[in-house]
Amino acid sequence: MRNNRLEQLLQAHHADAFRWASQCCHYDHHDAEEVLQMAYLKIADGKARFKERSSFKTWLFAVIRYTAMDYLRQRVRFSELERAPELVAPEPGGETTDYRALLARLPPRQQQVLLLAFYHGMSLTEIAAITDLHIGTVRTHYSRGKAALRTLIQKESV
Amino acid sequence: MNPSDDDLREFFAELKLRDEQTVPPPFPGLPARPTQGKWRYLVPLAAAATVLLVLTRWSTGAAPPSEAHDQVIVISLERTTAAPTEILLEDPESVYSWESSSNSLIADF
Repeated sequence: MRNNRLEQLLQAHHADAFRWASQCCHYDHHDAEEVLQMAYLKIADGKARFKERSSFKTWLFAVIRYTAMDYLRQRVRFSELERAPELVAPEPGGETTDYRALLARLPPRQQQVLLLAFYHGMSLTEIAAITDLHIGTVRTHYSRGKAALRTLIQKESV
Repeated sequence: MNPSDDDLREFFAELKLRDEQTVPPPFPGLPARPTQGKWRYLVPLAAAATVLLVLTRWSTGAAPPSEAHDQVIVISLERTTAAPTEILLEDPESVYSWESSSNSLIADF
């Protein structure tokens, strides 16, 4: 793929990519910017190549996820994407319900699957490609995550 | 997703709405690769030029010029009939005109 076309696609998905990078970095916007820059560099260097086996967005999200994992591991702040719920950056203006904190109470895998499905509108097949999980495992995380989040919402009376 | 997930859809729609209050940074563009572009062309060019130079030298068989070309040394041999000791008599007059050192004393008296 030519660089011009690649740049156009990246620009078109930039806002979504930034939000996904933020979610992978637990809403730390500074980390998200770093991760996104590193992901773009990987793409520019040809270390990550789009082979059109999936949609561009699916591929880009997978690159961002792997980059975030490496970045967070290097900083020795986290182990993969595991993180305690209380460490999630709070929403600005936290006088109302903190949706991020509520979601962060779920196990990381369930968070990611639900975010990709409901927030980013991905199919389960696409989620399996991004998270490098078997489709059956994704279905399990999806079902359990939904049930757990529903319980939390009811408890918090959102 | 199915229709019974409306509560979750509402939850994530609200989350997305709040996230959208954070403006993403401007798209930085695809980062340039400063070194790769330069070396991509320079290295093969340098290699090709070296090979061409070596092949040219090898095919013409020209030896590298040296400084000895600028200096001419002429060696000439002469055959003579003279005896090897003749050189000692090159100035025979000095022998014939020999005068004793005390000769002047005799003349003055």
